[in-house]
Amino acid sequence: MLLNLTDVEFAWPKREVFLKIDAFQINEGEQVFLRGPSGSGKSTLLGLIAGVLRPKAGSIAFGEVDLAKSSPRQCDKIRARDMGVVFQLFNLLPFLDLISNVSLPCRLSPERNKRLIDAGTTAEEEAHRLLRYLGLAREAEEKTPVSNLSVGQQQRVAAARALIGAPRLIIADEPTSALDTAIRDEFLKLLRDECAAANTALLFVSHDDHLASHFERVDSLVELNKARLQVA
Amino acid sequence: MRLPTLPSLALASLWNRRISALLTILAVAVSVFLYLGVGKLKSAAETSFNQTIHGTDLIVGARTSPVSLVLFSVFHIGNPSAAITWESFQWLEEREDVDWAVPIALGDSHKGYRVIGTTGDFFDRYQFRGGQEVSFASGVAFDDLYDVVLGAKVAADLGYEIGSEITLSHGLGEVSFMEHDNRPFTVTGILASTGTPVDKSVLVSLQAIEAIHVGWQSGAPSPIARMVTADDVRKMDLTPDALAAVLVGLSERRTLLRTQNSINTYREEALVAAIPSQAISEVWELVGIAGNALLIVSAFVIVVGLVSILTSILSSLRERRREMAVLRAVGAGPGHIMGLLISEAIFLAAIGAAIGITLVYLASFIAGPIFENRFGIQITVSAPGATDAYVFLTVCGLAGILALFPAIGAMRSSLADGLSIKL
Repeated sequence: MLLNLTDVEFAWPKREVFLKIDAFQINEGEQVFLRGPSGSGKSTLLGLIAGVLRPKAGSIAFGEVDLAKSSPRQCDKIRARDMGVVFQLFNLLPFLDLISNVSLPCRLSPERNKRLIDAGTTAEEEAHRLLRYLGLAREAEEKTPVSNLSVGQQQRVAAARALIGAPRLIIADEPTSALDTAIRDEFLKLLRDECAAANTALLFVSHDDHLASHFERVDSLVELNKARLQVA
Repeated sequence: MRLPTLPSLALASLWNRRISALLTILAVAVSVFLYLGVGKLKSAAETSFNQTIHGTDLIVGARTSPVSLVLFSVFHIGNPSAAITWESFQWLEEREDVDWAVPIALGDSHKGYRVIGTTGDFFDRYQFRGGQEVSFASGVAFDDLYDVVLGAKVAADLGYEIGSEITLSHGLGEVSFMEHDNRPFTVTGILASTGTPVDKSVLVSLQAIEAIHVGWQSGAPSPIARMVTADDVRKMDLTPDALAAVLVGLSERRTLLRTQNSINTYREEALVAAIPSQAISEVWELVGIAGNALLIVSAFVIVVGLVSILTSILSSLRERRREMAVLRAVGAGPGHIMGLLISEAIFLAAIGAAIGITLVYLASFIAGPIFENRFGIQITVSAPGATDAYVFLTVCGLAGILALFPAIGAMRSSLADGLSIKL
């Protein structure tokens, strides 16, 4: 098991419990679609899993470590080493070129960089390979400025950044909601295929039910979050 | 070899905002330049000022305050309210503890420049700036009654050369209605630049001062004045009867206070003996206030420069909130985010301050000689010293402290934002 949340409670300071999850697991390499309308505690859950937010109670086991008991510094380190994040929009640093954007996690995490070295490649080569795979070979070659890319292209670069160095988990927060249908399906296929190839687990969060059909496992945050039920 | 990741990212981010960064650096550089420049100029001015006269142990005049005595005798500002008689001068000169005494008479002006009556000893005895002596750029000291020696600035401004014939006017105005045009003087010597009031002096013999005024004793020309020729004057008794001041050198410096006391209590005439360095620093206390005010103003300019760093960081923060979220997502901690902003502020301050300091040295190297020639202020180009280091560190430190505010704000919001990007 890669991720195991048990009896997790989260509350913003001086507020009542906002998120309460009794049990939620993801296996190594598993791809999970999590249906979550806005306001369901989606961002909070992802913050907890990424080790950016800290729960009030419960444990969040990621691999061998409990993020709830780790220091913020350790959580940052684990996130850099073993996770990839794709946001809905604005994923890229405008002052870096495509290759530098994609290889950024390897520069922040020596372990992640070492995985690539051990596999006989480098961060730059792997960034080129991923961008080629995602159909951005020309843009990478020409060092196209990030601001000149379409939204769909930017999301693919973000996916490449999340995928580089074979992390154990990719957290995708509404990565396709800014894309139109044709591009959306293609993006999802590329992301899922590459995750499968690297045995990387994928937690895909969206309010878009059409996408759920692509996944074998579909969860609903509204059902998972017991805090909501209590309030209601 | 690449820079460590976060500093290199900070630099890349800064480069992305280079126009605003450049303006910020400029603001800091100019403010530091101004502050150090004013400080340097002020201390250079004070040094030059204090070294206006050197080697003279006492200045003696009719009873007045030491400050005003120095003002009219050394700086040629204002007039003595009373004069010293020739007898008192002789008494001073004959004293055993007095090595030398140079009389100074004031009165007239030539095109706005003060005419000083003195003796040939003046050129041997008057020293300035650590013992430099007055020297002649060309020509020799006055010898004849109608000889005149010009200060460097007088000669340069009025275009006089050796042999030029000039007339000395009565009174101080630049344009005089009553020129002593029946008594022409000949320029025999022009002094080298000293950076002291001597540069703006027209020097003649004591007898010449008397001669100019033959027939003018009432303040306006009497009918005699026009009739008396220059040669007639030569035959008259021209012993001066009123001196403005006497520069005195002692045989032994250790008698200074005793001699001063003895002159102050001279019974035949009310005299005062001032120690030049003391009186001059008293004058500087008055004049120097302007310099202090400038220094305070320029210190505030530094504050403005630092605030401009804060402004540039604060205005970039909204846009950079996304940048922070991305960095958080790829593994940067809240401490990194804070460090990024603080190091950016310190970096801008350091570059700005370094440029400012460099500019000060460049400016004193280039403008130093100009200042020395035109204002007599000697600016020494020395290696960067403790003041520069102090200003540099203060500016960098203050920038870092000021940046704490946006940095703490950014850290808080990056903690609260979690993984989401707030727009």
